[in-house]
This record gives sequence, structure tokens and C-alpha cells, in this order.
Amino acid sequence: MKPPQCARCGICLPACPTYRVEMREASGPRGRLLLLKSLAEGEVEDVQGLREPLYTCTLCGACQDACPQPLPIVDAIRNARARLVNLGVEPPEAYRRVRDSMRRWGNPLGVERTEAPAWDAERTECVLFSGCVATYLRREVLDAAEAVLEAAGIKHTTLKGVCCGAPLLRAGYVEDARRLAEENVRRLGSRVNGLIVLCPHCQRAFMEDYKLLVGTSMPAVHITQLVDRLISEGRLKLEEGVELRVAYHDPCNLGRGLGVYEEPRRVLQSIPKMRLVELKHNRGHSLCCGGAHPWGYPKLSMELARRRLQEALSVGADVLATSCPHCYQSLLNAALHHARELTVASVVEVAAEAVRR
Amino acid sequence: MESTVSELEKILGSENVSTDEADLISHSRDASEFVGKPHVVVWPRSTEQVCRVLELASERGVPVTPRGSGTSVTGGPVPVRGGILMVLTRMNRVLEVDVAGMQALVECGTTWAGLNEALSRYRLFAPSDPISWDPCTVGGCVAEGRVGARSLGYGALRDWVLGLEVALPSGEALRVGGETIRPRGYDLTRLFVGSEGTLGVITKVRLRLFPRPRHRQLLVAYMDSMEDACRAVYHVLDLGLEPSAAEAVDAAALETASQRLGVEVPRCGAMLALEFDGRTRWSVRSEVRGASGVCTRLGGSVKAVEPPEAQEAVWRLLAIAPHASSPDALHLELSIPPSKLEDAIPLLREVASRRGLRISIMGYVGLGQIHVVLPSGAGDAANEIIEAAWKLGGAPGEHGAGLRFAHLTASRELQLMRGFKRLLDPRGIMNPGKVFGHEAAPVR
Repeated sequence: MKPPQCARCGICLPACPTYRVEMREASGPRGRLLLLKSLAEGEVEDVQGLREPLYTCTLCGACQDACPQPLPIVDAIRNARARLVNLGVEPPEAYRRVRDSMRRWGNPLGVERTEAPAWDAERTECVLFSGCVATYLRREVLDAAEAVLEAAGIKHTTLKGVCCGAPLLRAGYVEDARRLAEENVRRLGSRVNGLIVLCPHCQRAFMEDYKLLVGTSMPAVHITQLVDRLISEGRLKLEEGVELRVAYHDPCNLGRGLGVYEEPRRVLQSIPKMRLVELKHNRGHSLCCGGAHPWGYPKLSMELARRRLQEALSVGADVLATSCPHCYQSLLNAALHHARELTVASVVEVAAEAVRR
Repeated sequence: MESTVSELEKILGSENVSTDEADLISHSRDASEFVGKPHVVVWPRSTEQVCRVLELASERGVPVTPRGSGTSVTGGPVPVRGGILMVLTRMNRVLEVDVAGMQALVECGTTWAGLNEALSRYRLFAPSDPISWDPCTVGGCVAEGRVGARSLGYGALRDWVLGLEVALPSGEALRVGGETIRPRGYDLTRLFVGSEGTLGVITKVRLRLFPRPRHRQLLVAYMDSMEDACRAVYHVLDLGLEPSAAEAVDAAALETASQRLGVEVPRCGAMLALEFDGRTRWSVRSEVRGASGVCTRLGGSVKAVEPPEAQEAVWRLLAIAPHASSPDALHLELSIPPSKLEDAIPLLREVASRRGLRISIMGYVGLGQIHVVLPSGAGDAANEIIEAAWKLGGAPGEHGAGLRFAHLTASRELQLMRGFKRLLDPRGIMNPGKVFGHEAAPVR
């Protein structure tokens, strides 16, 4: 497949989180596209050497928004990863472990499957698809979502420990992702009235990637969108507020990817006494927190997260809230090392805390 | 080259030296059509490291090409003779802000956005070009002798460079100029401003700063033609109004850029943006009203833009205009004597139309700086356009001569320039082929 032709104007560079850290062309969109062009023209001798430039990309999409053309850079990088896999160039070790873990345990985290997926539960109003991180690493996100749904009286079945396949797709293992998508669509698609997700990666996989992989997309709603709706309909009341300054980190997939910027902010603003403050890079200008590749490049990931925490501290935030379990995990991990004074939370947790019991 | 690489690793640490094919390819181009792969890429972090690298390169006769963010459209940072590509973006600290003296000392890889962010707490600012200040480095712009939209109100960059630290091929760090407005002896600072990395590597820049204006407003005027946009700026200046910036873009570029951003613009021949700034809202609005009158009298329709985010949107439209049409377009940056620009534009268009080509023109009209975008492969037309511009007294535009105009450097100045070059760079290692390279050819 021919890569998009780039004018090399460099307008994308300041938007790219990895370029901002490494200040190196091969870690930025313009350099990556030039490498893809050279690959397509048969000018690359060391194809293995493309792994790092291609896999350090967080696929955050900020470059696409900045690009004057605009070029489909994220798709180009994802396609190139898949192409490398097809050429027999394996992704970096950490991504291979993702695939192996998926094949063995059904999750990308290398965690033994302890949750039996509730595929056969009774047909309920809707299914809460918890995703991998909220099931195995950040259970508090799932617990908070359950609490909020219960408070609002939403009957649902929680489907735990099933992966949407997004990590496989990001790694370049398209065939593995396709098989998983087929299985998920077969078992989930026909039974669901409403699909609630906790993770924007799952949401985009269901709504966008599945269309390409298996020709069917599944509408899904993110928990913060639902909470926002429930508040506006008067079905959920957030009454227990604490005087705090809360900054909101826009996850790339939820914000730039799906255009969900205002709903999480409205949820936070509806909590009494809580004051929402904006980070310097917010909404469409948000920068990736490194949650996208915590396994592949931990140092880079940590630095990206540290910069987000720094932005939160510089606007005097007490809490940095987000609505993606990957971002939450990445920011929480970095806060332990770099900003212990800052509380990192997921929006749904903050909402659950504010429900009067 | 292998032993040179291992020496470089000793100087810079292996994490700042790369011979990986991915790094060589990704640094082989700028925004022009020129290509040149280096043998090794280095990222120095201090002046001392730059000096030691240059000393080593001089000893071994290895070419060194300095590079900032690589946004040039003339091939300036393209290492056409291989050797060492020196990326300076990791030298990006703001070293000193002298508030009372209104000066800042910065490392060369500092971006304008980074500098202005550091200055935000002092009510000072560096009036860099609003359309490309984010990716561009201070050192890169100084080396290119850049001009921007705000040069109309604040003077060209060379007017606010007070002093430089330059690493010479001998390995010495030379300091020219300083904290005073007037240098001692010859103004050597100006020799290095616009020298395009052919005499040494600019490692630190001392810049004059300006008080950050409290109010700023943009006047957007939709004119019948680029010529009318030029005329409007002359009349505005003639009336004693003082725009802080001016830029115009023709209908062809405006159409693609506005489509890209999904904004609607009225049908027109050209869009002119005039920025006014000052201490009071009243005085700024008064200037805007004056300029509105000029533009309307010339048949334009006008819109005053006050919210900062709306002003930013206009600058963004102008920023992407040269690159929104085609990824493989040919870019010519030309400097025309300002008073002749109005006559030059129809001449350049005539060249294009004779060849059946659609070109777009944009630029800092009050300063005679224009950017001409031609379709890919229109080399002959480009050469004819350059010839026409030269006949009017033109020169390379804000991205310098680079490779694009290197064959056109005036012969009467050539000998003197070569003399300076030989004196500072006797082995000819610094950015060879640029500014007055003999082998540079007309546009292909």
C-alpha cells in the first residue's frame, strides 16, 4: 500500500508527543512518513531498523489534526506495522508478548484469566464491557462503574476479561485481531441492546475497527457519556462534593478519536464544590500520556505521563482525572514517581464518590 | 568514517550519535525536493560538544550540515555531500532573561514557542512570525536570516539579534556582539545572521525582546487581487498607521486552506491579514478602523477579529496555506523590493499562465517577501520566475539561498564571501554546496 505523500513542512512536529520528547526526526510523523516512503520505494536495506520509529508512535492522531493536507498518518503507521509483520519482521519483544498473552489468556496483560466471561448471562438492558485494564489492573474503575449504574438503576450484565482486540491491531497482528473481532461480534453483537465500555480503545475498536476487520460495527457508549446523560435526565444525582481543583486529561481515543470532549467535563462540573481547571494542552490539543505503549517503551511512556502531570501541577490541580483506563494506569504509575502530591483518578470513580449513599 | 563515528561517540555519548539507517533516511530531506543522506547524525547538547565535533570534522575533512527543525524549502539543511548531520534541537534551554535590559540568551535549538512560553511571566515577548513560530528554532531562523509577518512592525530578525556564540570549524567558540545595542568594531553578528551554517554553527543567540502588547486585533480584508492587497498595505503605511504584522494569500491557496480547515471565506482574489497591537484597546481599534477604511475604499470587504482564539485560527489558515494544496509542490521563497511587488506579481503570473500552470502566491506583502507555490515538475517555470524576480532586484526569500538559489549569488560579492569563508572554514566543511555552491543547478 502506498504511504500518504507528505509535504515535509514540519507543522506536525510540535503536535507529536514522542518528537517533543526525543527531538528526533524518526520519532516524529514527518520522519516516520519519509521512512514509509523509502520502504515503499525499496530504498530501505535494514527493514528491522524501522521497528523502533514505527512502534514508538503512540497513534494519538495529533499529527493528523495539525497536518495541512491532512494525511491519514495513524492508518499509515498501523498499516505499516501490519506490513512488517507480514514481511516476517516481528514487532518489539513487548508487543510479541501481547500477542502471546492474548493467545494464552485472552488479555494483553500477561495476566492469567481469572474471570470467566459471562457470555451466557440473561439478556439484560445492556452489557458493561469492562475491558482488560479495568478487569485486571484497575478494578476500582470497574467497581465505580458498577456503583454508578446501580445508583441509576441500570440493569446490566458485566462482561469481564474479554479483550476487544485493539492491542493486537496496534501491534500489527491483524489476523489475530480479526479472529477476535469475529468472535466478539458473533457472541455480543446479536444480544446487546446497549453496549457500555470503560475504555475508549474498546469503543473505537467496536465502532470503527470492527467495520474494517469484519464489516460490522457495534455502537458503544463510553461510561462518561452515559453518566453525563443520566445526570441530565435526572436519573443520577452527584451530591457529595469535596472542594478540589480537578484537571481533566483528554484521552486521545475518546477526545480526538471520538470527539468526546465535553461530557466528562460536564460530569466533573456537576459535582458540588469541585472546580474544573484546564491543562495547557486540552481537548484537540491534548498530548498523549504514554498509556498507549506502556509495555513497549516504558521510559518514553513514563516521560510522556510525567509531562502531563507537570501540566496538571502547573495549573494548581489537586486531582488529575481521565476517562481511559490505559491513561489512568499510565498517569497513576508516573505520579508515584514524579507527583505524589497529585491524585490521579478516573472520572467514573470521581462520579461514584459523589453519589449519596 | 567508522573511526570518526567512534570519536563522535566519545564526544557526545552513544545516545547522541546514530548511523541507523532510519535516522539517516529521516534526516535526508527538508521541505524542498532536495535529497542527501548523511553518514552519521549527531545531537549535541552543549557548545563544547559542538566545538569538539567541528574540530574533529575539520581535522578529517568531513562535511558538517547543521539542522534545526528542518522546515526550510531551499535545501539548506540537506546534507548533499554526506558527512555529519548536526541536529541542534536538543540544545533548547532559555539560559537568561534580562527583564530590565529586555534581552534573552537562548540556546540555538529553542523554539520560538518555547522562548515565548518562558517569557510569558515577564510581560515580554519575542515578536516571531506567528505562522511558524511553533516548530521553528531560534538558531535555524537566525542562520537563515528569516523574515516573518511581524517583521513589518518589529523589524527583521537580524535587527533584534544582539549577539551570537558561534562554534567555528577550528573548534573555537566565538562570541560576537553582546548585550549592547552597538557592537565593538565591525558588526560581525550580521555576518553570521543569514550565513546558513556555512561559516560555523550558531550555538547561542542573544535577542532583543519587546514589551508584550496588551491588546491585539486582526483586520481581515477580502480584496479583489494580491495587487490590491499590496496596495492596501502601502496606503495603510502611508496614512501613518502602524500594523504589527501583515500577510496576504491569494484565492487559490486560500481555497485549499479554508477547505482543509472547514471554514467558509467569502469569494475574493486575495485575503489580507493586518495585525495591530498596542497598549490600549481604544488605540488598537482606532488603527483597525483606519485600515478598514483603506481596504474598503480599494473595494475590499473587511472583518475585525478580536478574540485571541479567532486570531489564532486566521494565522493557522495562513500557516497551512503553502502546504495545503499538494504534498509535492515546488516552493519558491522570493524577496522582491517592496515597492516593486505590486508590479512583480502580474509578471510572475504571466510566466505561469504562458506555460498553462496554476500557481499560488502568498507572503508578507509590506516587506516584499513572497512564497510562490508551483506544481511539481514545473522547474522551467520556476527558473523563469526567479529570473523575472532577479531582474526586479530580487533575492532569495526568508529561507535563504540554500541549494535553490546557490548558483545565483551575485558574482561581484562572491569573491568577498569566499574570502570570509576561507578565513573561517579553510577546509570547507561547513554546509558545503549552500549559498554559493558552484555545482548547484537551476531548479529541476
